[in-house]
Amino acid sequence: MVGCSYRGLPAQRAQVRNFIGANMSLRRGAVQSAGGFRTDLGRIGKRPLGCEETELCIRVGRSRPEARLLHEPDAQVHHRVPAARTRWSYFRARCYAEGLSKAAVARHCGTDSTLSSERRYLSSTIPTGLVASLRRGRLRAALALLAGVLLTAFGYLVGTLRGAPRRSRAATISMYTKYAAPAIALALWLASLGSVDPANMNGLGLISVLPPTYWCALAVLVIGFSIAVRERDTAPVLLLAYILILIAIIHATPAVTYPTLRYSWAWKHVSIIDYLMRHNALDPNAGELTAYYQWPGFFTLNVLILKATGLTSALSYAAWAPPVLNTMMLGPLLLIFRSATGDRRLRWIGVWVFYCGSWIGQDYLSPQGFAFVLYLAILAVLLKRLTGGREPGSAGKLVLLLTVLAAIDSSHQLTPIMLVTALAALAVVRRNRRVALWMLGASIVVMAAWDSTAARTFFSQNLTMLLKTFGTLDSNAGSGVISLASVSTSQIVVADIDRALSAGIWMLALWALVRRRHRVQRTRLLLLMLAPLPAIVANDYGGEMLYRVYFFSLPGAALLAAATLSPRRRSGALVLPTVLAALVTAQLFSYYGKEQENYFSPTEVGAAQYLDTHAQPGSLIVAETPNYAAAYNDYERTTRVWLLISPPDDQIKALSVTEPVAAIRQAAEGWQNGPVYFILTESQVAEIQMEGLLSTGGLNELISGLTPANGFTVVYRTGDAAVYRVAPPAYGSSVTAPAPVSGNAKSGNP
Amino acid sequence: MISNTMPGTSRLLLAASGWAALAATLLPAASAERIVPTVAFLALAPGAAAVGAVRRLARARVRDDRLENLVVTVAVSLSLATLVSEGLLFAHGFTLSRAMIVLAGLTSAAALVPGRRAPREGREP
Repeated sequence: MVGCSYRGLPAQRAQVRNFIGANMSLRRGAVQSAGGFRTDLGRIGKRPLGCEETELCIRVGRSRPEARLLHEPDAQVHHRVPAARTRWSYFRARCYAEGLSKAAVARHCGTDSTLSSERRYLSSTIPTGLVASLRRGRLRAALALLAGVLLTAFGYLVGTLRGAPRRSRAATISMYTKYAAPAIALALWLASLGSVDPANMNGLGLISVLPPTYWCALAVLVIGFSIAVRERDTAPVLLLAYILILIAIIHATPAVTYPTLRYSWAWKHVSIIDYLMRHNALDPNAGELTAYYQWPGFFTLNVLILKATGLTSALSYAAWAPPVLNTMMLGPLLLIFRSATGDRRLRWIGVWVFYCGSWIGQDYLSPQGFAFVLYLAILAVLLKRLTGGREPGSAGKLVLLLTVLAAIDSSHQLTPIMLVTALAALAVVRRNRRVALWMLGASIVVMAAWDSTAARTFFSQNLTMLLKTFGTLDSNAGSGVISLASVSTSQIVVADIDRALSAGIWMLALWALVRRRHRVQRTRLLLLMLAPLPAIVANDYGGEMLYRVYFFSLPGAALLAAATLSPRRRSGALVLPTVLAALVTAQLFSYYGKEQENYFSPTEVGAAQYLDTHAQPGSLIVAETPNYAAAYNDYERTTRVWLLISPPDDQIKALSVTEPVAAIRQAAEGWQNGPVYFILTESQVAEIQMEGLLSTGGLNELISGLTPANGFTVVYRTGDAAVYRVAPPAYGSSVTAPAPVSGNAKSGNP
Repeated sequence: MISNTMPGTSRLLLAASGWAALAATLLPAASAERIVPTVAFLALAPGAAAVGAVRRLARARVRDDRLENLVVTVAVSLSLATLVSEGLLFAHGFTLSRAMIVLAGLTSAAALVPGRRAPREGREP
């Protein structure tokens, strides 16, 4: 029972904060000088209010600091307890009233002294009681104990709100909201996960299967965060909790709800790590995968982790890479933001904007995700030296960063270039320029050293292509982005939203430069934001350059955008939550807009693994695209042809769009080293439809043409995937006309 | 945790952490008692030792920046693990024990780097 003697009170004579009214005595002088009992506390009528003695004791303690209130455990008190007080109803009312009373005392004495004993009671006595009850198998007693605590807390909350003057009532509500919101959001999110079924997704992706509780979780988080970030006295650890929950809600949802690893590229990277585990050596003849072995740092790190932990494959943790990598970005981001502004609110809003603007999806198990964390760390440590004074000992950490630089340069081909442009941009500002130039020089030397030795093969093989694309701004920028003519309607919606999100963040950032309301390092942030742009001139990076440029510009853009969003006046109080909610919604559309092709059902994974284990060494695997799970498993044993992505020659390239079935036969022709297989899965079909790689007619033709008459024998089939053995060329020289379209092509049943 | 005010025992523990992680690799594969110490070592210890060494070698007192220390600790640790594993694979000599011995050795060496003004260490500025 809260508010009585309890286990945990001193067992020997000792000083206490307050007595219990049943039996207490004080010196008359002390009571008189403290002003006696308050008359507005204590029991009035039947409601079991109390705590007037607590309040008096606290007041006595304050008016006479030398006074000591002693608890005598040997004193015996005989107290008549009527039968009514042994009932549940009295217990309930008593606990609730105790909460009300404590709130009243807190109003008069402040929360610190009022709740000091209660905190101890909650942290030690209640848990001990719970454990003891549970150990004796008294579940009901444990539940009653818990209910008592909750009722008291509720009473305290009501008492605080009721007693607060009108003006501070709003402050009290916002205080409770900001502390309660993260817990409520977390609970709602966890509760929502059970009803997310990725198998039911439509063309809009994950967003189409998120239940209302998920959205409630986000709404609560947005409201709480908007309140918490606005108040100057909010503890940083509370804001940290908000951001960690935001990361979890955005990035851990697939990790929990998908039964298999999402995203074919993540599977591909797992396959590279598996290769290294199998052979304990880099692959000198990796074909289309060559680049991975010339920048292998991230993969060798995973090998070390796997061998050290004894795990057999990165598949066991790959699904958790997005939440982990995003969490790892938080430290360097906060450090960068701290160097750029002294306003704490801006930094945390900037972090929110960053996580909502980062929809490009570079945070899965990938070299670029890992390298980006290291890239941020270098910028963070450097920026502190650029913006702060000359700190003694600061050179030491910059020297340590050389290892980080080497890890970036040996892990990913694009990140070092982005780092060089960012460092060059930072060297534009005169203050502490020498430090920036030193780091820039080091990064150029390390990059050149790596690219001219370990990665030389890649450069010499791709030099012509690199030179050809250099300077072709139109095609580099437009590649993979501008053409929406052939994609599905849902993907046009997704593309519109992700463009609006990116452009919106950039516009908010640029607006901060115009308005200049907050104290932020505008020049350096703008330089960081613009630094990646030259890369567009250089290369199209497989059609991704504009995305990557946006991604690397995001840290600078996010903080500038936050400067626009940070509310100055009360009238703007609604703007912040509205924009933050819009950002997170747009992020979910953009980031998860292609989930229909990124999600692989367990049966589909089963089909791919069947092919992996049953294809003899030397087999040829033909597929329209590599967008299926385990497409590169044991890749060294077989040869793969992706008809729509990288056709072996121009003839097949043309055929695969006009006559897809004939293209498969053509690709198989002349293969002498082993059998030829063709695999078609639901996720490939989703990709083909969403990206418009084949016309609807072409897709129907493909699906209905995979018949024995055309030389395709089913060797494995599930509801959403099929593996065919393709007959050797001698089987027949021409492809028979495809059967009439069956009409179920959209169901993707190949 | 990674400052020059670290008491002697913490630094000794840090110096020993790699060898403890190496010993942990003898535990059953994929067990929690193996995963936790090895991953903790790879992600934190070499960087923590390096950051500590840099602080002790600094000519003057450096104000402790805990967030920066954490960021550098993690980045340097993972970078060293990357470079060591990569180097051994390029040299066709990768084994788990070799990689762990190199990292444990680096960690021990950095953790045991003495400070410039040893007697005055161990006090907060």
